[in-house]
Amino acid sequence: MIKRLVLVGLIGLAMALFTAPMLAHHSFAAFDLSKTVTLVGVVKEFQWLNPHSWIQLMVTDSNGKEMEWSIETSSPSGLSRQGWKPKSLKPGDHITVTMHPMRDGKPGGSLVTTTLADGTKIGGSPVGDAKE
Amino acid sequence: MRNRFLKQAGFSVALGMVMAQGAMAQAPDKVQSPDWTGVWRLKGSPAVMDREDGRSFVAGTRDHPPYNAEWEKRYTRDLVRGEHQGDANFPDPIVDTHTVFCAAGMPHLMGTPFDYEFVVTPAKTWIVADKETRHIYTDGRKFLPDDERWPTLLGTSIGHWENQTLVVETVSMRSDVWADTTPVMFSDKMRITERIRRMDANTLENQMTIADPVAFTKPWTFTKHYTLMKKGTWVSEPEKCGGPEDRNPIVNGRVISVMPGVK
Repeated sequence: MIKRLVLVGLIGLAMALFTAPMLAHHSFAAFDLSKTVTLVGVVKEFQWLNPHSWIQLMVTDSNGKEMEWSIETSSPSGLSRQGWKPKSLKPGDHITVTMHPMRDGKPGGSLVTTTLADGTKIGGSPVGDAKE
Repeated sequence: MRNRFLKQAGFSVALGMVMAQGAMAQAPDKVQSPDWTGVWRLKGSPAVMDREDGRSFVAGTRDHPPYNAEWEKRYTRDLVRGEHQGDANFPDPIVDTHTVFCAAGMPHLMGTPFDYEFVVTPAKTWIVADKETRHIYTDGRKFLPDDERWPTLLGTSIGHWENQTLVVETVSMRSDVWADTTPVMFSDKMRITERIRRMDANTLENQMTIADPVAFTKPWTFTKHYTLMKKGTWVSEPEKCGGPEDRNPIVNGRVISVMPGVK
């Protein structure tokens, strides 16, 4: 069901320039913006909430252990401006996300990209619209 | 005789009405208010005020206000504290004030990714962004005396028109509100002057000058631009914070992330 957890490593300069976090109700200091992690998993819940929305993703690591990850995104209004809808993700959806992981090692991060199983990408970068 | 009196009285009343209408038409401003209707969005990044690029909440991202040595030292220190606002192990973090108030305040409000609306009438202009509304009086009034004003998030604004440019003076802002995503703060003597004009069909320009005789060695000037969205664009739902849904509460002076099932 759930396949892998891959640490991609340092993000490139382009990403550093073009994925500036939106003004949020809090800073992104809890996330390590110098790293990008790719997760493949199954959506448990998509929380379309103010001030920030969250993806709860079930991920199984290479040892077969399943873990729930919390991936923080932008506000509903911020997401909608980038093409997201409240039901863009449904429980059971197989997705691949890239995210900046939490500094403290907890299973969470700040969303960068989201790709459905058929390769469809949802919206732009929900945490960055620095270039309009 | 009676008819003549009535005619004269009627003429006087009519003249008075015309004069009154004329006075109303001239007041408060003689200029034709420009049409700035529509939904506008900030051009470039909201990270800092004095640049239109940059990345929010990344170490090293900063403004360059003309602080004196004392205030520059304070800003440099607070930059590090702000970068650690979510760090449980950092001894003395500070939380950005947009999180604290769930509001930007001034001057931050003019540099956000929120939708902007400029409602222009002869006597007053409203600038609406997210759930904050600036009230800019252009009816000729003066600021209230110092002892009748107090610091607020958005301050108090009066304006006037210079042709098609709205010139806004803002005072009485809170000195503890960050100017953007970095901890740029000011003294209670700060004053903002904005010159807002339509550069072309799709662009509004806001040249902002912040004067602070306590913190600055000279006025700080920068320019923000706003792009007109296509007709029919819906204004975004305001962001709301601090409710039961908020998974990023402030705990012990730190912003935390609530993770289900994680201790």
